[in-house]
Amino acid sequence: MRIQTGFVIRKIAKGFGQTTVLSDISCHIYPGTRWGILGPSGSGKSTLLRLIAGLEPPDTGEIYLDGRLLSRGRHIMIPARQRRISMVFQDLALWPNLTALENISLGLRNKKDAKERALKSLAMCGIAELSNRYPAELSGGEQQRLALARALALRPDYLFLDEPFSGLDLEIKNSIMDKIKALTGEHDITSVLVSHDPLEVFKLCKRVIVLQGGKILEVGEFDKLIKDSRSPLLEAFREYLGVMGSTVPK
Amino acid sequence: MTLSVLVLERPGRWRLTGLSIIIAISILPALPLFFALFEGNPLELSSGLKGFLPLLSKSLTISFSGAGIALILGLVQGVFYSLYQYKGRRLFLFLSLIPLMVPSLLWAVSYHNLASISSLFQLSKTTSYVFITAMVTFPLVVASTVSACSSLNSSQCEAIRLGSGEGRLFWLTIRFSFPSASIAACLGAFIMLSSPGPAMGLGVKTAISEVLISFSALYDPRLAALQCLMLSSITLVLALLLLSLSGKRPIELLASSSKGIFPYHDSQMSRLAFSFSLIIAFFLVILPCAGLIQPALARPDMTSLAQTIARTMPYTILYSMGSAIVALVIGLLMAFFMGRFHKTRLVGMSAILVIFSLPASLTALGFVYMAANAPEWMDFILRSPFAVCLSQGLRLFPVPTLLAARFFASLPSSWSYAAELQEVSLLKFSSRILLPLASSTILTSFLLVSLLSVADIATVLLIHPPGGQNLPLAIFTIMANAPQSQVSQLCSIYLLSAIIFLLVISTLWKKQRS
Repeated sequence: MRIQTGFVIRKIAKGFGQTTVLSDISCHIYPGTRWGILGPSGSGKSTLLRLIAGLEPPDTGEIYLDGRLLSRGRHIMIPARQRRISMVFQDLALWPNLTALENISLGLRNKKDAKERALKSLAMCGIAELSNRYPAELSGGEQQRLALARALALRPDYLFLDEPFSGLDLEIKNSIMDKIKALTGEHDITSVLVSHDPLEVFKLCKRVIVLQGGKILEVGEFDKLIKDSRSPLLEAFREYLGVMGSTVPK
Repeated sequence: MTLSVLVLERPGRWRLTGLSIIIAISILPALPLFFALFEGNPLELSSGLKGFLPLLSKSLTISFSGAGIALILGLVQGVFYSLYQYKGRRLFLFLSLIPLMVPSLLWAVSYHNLASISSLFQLSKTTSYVFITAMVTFPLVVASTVSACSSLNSSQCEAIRLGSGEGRLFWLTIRFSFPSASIAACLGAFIMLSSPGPAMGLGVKTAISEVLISFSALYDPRLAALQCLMLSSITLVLALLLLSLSGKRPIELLASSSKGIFPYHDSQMSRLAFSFSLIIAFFLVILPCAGLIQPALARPDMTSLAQTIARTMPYTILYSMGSAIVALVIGLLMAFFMGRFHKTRLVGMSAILVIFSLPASLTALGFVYMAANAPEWMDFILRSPFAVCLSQGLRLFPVPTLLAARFFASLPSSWSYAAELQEVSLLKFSSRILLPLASSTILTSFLLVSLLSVADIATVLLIHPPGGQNLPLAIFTIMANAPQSQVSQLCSIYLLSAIIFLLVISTLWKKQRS
């Protein structure tokens, strides 16, 4: 049995043309907790997530998963589909010409139990009755749940969430976050949320990596970091909590 | 081993290599013409070319005068269409596309008919030629203006509208679309520069008519080849100059895809837009169509008509469908290699604009030259309908490339990422997601290329497989000797078929946009 040590990222860098998006990124995302990657717009959060997922190759550096080398420099050894990662994208990436059920079952290999698994996944996210609807026929919250159901149907070890809550009202956002918390806990999935909103990270994540200008500013437990953070984003959040008369939960 | 969906999202040198191979293939048939330079007596040739230069200069003047008129009118029409809501807005856009979709020869027939109906329409041959050029170029300018305007968004327009008023918004939109519209106008000028229809129909001597005369009347394929090369070189230089002057932005705008601005109802501007569109539609479309149809109303000789249609229909369909298939395959490959990357899209778009500018007769004469020098057993390819399809497909593949590039640009990269993580193979992703969504783009491209290939007389006239006459060539052949009513009846049948095709295309386009 392989020992699960999670993702080890060593000195990775990534640029697009003349622009450097990430430089000298090293961190360890270990399993069994809920992670957040927090940073202002343009800090390289989504790029980092795509590099870890294997959707894009880094320019330099190495990425390991459970001790296995995933990529070195621009060379990808283990492709994205073999990393046991699922992802909910910012635009949800639902295929508009397929029904909710087809959106999920398209990627499931075993045709016999694909439908059953897809239905189970829909039921888990509370939208089993919408299986024959097309994405355009679903509300924003239902589309979100469908994207989550699709990600969970593969039974991944890691669930990556790339700013999936933008554009949702607070009530739906809260209920989906609760769902994610419950399901990842129940199925032993490590979640990694990318967000520019400390409130979302505060609600969903235990540990956080703070990015600024393409570099890691700090890594740690969210409730500890917020008390003594160097990040302007977290400082602003602390101020906001003060104004609201709230405190960081223990 | 399954091919990863991520290949759609990955840049790399292989994309530029793929583009280079396609570009090389598209100009390959023209290469044998260069051998003509080294054959025979050079003195003889230079005397043959002496008279060609003034004709070339005359053709350039006519084409660019027409394109200039089309640029002014098309730019205004395109901006009116993009910014304002007015009665019959879509109908006017539909009407404006008709002149491009039929052979320009038909418009020469129409002007000839109109002159015999009323002295009001008795224009000089050169003036008629300029008007026909403007008619054919107008749809290209309108389409590129609408495409450029669609990259604006409603908030930008609202900000100008509130701050500076409607007039300023109109002027700024004109300025914004001008570079894209200019490229389209020049493209129209290049197309007309190498289109023999109006010159032959009106009896005006131009560069391209001289190429055809050298080939089919003087039986001097070498002179024809050299004249064609000279015409192509001028076009190539002008096209490259145009691309370097216009900069990257208008070229990128042509391949980009966005929902665009929501047309606004302003009582004064909407009234103005309606009146302008009505006048333009009357002079550029309705009147020329009437000129074709009016003589056709005389008692038709149904037997002769039916015979001509029955004789030409199989080849008309064969050439149009064959060319469309060739163009579609090459165009989709080209768009695939272009991907969503700035550099490859710029290279690809520039290449297709240049290739589309080159005369159709260049590739066709290349095939003729190959056929003349190749062993007899190659005739089944080089002198067959297949050669016509290949020649036209290689010239018209820029149309599907452009539409497919716009389709690819409209797809978010997260779809491929999601497919990769969901373990969906490239084959499955293409068959279940890409192809169903691209079906209307593919069908639209197919129908557009079919229409444009039938409208190209030069290729069929030059390659002319034994017995393989299509409808436009039949009209071209009988034009000088048959009664005016018979020619007009054939032209009217063609016009009607083209309008039906266009109706189908616009329905598909609407479906795709929604």
